[in-house]
Amino acid sequence: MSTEPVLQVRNLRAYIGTPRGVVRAVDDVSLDLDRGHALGVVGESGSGKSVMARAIMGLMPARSGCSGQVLFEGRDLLTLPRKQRAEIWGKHIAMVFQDPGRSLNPVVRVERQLTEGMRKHLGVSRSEAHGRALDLLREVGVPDPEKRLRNYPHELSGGMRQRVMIATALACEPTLLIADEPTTALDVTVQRQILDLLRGVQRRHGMSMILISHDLAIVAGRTDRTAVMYAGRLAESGATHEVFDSPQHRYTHALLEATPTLDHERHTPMRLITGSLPDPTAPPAGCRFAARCPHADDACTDPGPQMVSIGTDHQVACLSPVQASAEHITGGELVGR
Amino acid sequence: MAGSGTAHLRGEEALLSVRDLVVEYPTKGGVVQAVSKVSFDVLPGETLGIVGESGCGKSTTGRAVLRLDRLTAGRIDFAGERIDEASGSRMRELRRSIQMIFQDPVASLNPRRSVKDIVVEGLAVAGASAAERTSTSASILEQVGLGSERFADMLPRQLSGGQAQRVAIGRALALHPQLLICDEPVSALDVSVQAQILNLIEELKAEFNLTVVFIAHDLGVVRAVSDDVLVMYLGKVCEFGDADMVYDQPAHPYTRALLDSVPLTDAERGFTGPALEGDLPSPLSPPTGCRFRTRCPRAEERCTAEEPEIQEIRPGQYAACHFPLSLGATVTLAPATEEPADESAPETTGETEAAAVPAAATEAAPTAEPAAPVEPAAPVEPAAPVEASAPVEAAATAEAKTDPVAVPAAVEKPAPAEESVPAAKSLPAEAAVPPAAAVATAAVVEESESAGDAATATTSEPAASTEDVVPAEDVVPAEDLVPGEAEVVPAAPAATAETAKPAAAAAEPAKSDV
Repeated sequence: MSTEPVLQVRNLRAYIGTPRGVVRAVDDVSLDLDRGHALGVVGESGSGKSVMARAIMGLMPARSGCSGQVLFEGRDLLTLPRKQRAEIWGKHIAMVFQDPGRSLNPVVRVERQLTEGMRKHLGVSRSEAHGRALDLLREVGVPDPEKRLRNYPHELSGGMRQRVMIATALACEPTLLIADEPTTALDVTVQRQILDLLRGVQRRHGMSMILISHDLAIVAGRTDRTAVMYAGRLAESGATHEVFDSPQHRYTHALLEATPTLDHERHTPMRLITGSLPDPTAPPAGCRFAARCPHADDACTDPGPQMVSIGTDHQVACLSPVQASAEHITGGELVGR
Repeated sequence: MAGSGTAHLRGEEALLSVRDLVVEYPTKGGVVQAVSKVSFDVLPGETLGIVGESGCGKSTTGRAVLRLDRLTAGRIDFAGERIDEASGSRMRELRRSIQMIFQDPVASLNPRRSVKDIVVEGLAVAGASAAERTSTSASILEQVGLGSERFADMLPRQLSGGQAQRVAIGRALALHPQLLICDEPVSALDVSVQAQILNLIEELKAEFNLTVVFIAHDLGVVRAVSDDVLVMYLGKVCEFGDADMVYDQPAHPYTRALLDSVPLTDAERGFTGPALEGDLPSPLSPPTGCRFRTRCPRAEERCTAEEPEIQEIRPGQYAACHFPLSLGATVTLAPATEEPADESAPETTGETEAAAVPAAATEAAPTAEPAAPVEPAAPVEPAAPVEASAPVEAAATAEAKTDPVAVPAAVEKPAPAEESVPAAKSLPAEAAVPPAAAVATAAVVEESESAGDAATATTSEPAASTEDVVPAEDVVPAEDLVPGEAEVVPAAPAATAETAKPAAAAAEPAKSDV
């Protein structure tokens, strides 16, 4: 196994045309994902996290455009000929979506949904596919798999559907699994089960995983690295424990503070982030969080921050980071924004 | 869980008291007992938080207080008056004192009316004069933080989620209610906006002297605003008590499990405790005895035979459990082991209720079977021929994740030139789009054109037009627990619907919040 990252995203821009103008959903994002690692991507709605996943997966909507590079095992998915990309998507990169009720076909039995990918990509026989489908359902903890294979999606509960989705994604033994808000539609106890399952299969199969969520806490316990996005840009990235233990970007910090916790003193005001997201069709110059940031000054909008390294595995694009330490910032290595 | 019983009630001082509330919904598959003998009191000026997972009856309980659903049995008293027996016209008057805000802020507002009219809808129904409505409208909007002139004439669709929720709150408060029922008021909102709305509700509660019933599935949110907490499961009460006590020392195993399932931002731990196994049983045939017993690590035979009554576990804390957790018991649930999950969930639902299998299934089970063929037989034929047929195939089966190749081909009909932004897949990194926002459209289109063939190749792909696609909403049988109901679902390609979605989703943030 090479030590080269499985996925290298370089200066990715993904713009989407809407009647109101061009939405700069992802605007110059670069990140790496190492083999066998799990990367959490967090951000609120409009941060571009899902669009980034779709750009990697080639699922961009009509009237959209991407630039930059998405290097999967060294091959740029944005420029690769269609046939070669078709080889990769579904087989080497698989995706689990937010709402399993919508992403499974309602009129197709579980068995065909599960086996279609492996029949196509791996060329296995029908009976072999059946056996593998049973194994997969067992692996993701679906009880009575023989019976479930004959079910339609509506006959399964939300948690079971998401397990089927995960089994489907695992069918071709992907190198990279992208889970986009995999538990947002689920109840908290079921969410817990699915998150444990995802982390479990990721480790057992030695897969790389991108776990996308609006909920910081979901990413915290289950990933090796975390990237925080805001308004189409990367605000901060680094080892998960670094990002959560000592968030440096003012946005990450504020977001963590605003997240309700189980030990919140009752009737005390929650810390909040005032204001709202900038207009994605005309984002402000410099740091996009500046307008909502109490620590922002003129330099934040002109020239604006660059992504700099602080510590061993921690990058941040903030001119007044939480633990402002001048030598860190000025002496830091420039790693692109 | 639970159970029934009245040990936890507060008696006469309560502004709202609910006794043995039963709400049933007839469905094709049978009668769903959404709420089953629930009792609680809310004291004036306090906030009662109701938490539980979907299907626990928390929303139904809130709606029942306003008589939005028909009560099957039970008694509801509000300010000394019996709501459950009130006539229709009396109820209409009472609803001025009991207002509600809902989960989906945009959907709960009339899409054709302006913000300034919406906030005084209630007053109009109550017969207030036009002059009174105008002045109230302005002052209420000011109070919910939408004082700026520009909001007054906006339509709901022009508002962000947070702004729409502010309007909904304003509409509820314009009538100066005594009781405000908030049904998942922040679960559709982003974290940063969520905190704004929670703080607003707290401020206004003090200002308007409100009593609040706060319904939510997020335990952290409930903690921040509640004096007392009611934990529900499958239509029954599990636990009731002072919020601090319930959160710090839960007495019911379900409360413990709920708290343990809340993800923490603590990167080392992630969760505080072991996972709860299994799924919610079917509400059509809930388990006998304690309804939580099928998933409860402490369940014994008695739990099957006998429904637990609510009893006082500690002063101010009540639970309906035969084997409540004692003080200081922290690790009480069976740890999630790597062994196959033991069958703690006996099959209680019938064959037909596949939708809600109470199975003790966890990811633990699969260890025995590490997905046999790691390196499967070499593909007889590389995927090349597959690709040609891909679009058709995908439309038929909606296998977005196993065959994403087909999906990008689902391109809309050629859009009008001035709006169109063809997919430009191969821009060199240097061709970065200039930051000047004003020229954004032009810039992208230009670059796309310069990208030449690549762009054309992508857009001209023969594909299912999105217009032919049934809207995703119509497709989804989603929460349908009733088997057989969803069989007539149209064969709409979910994959295509999925691709169509991001455009809308991306457009969302364009709205600005306050």
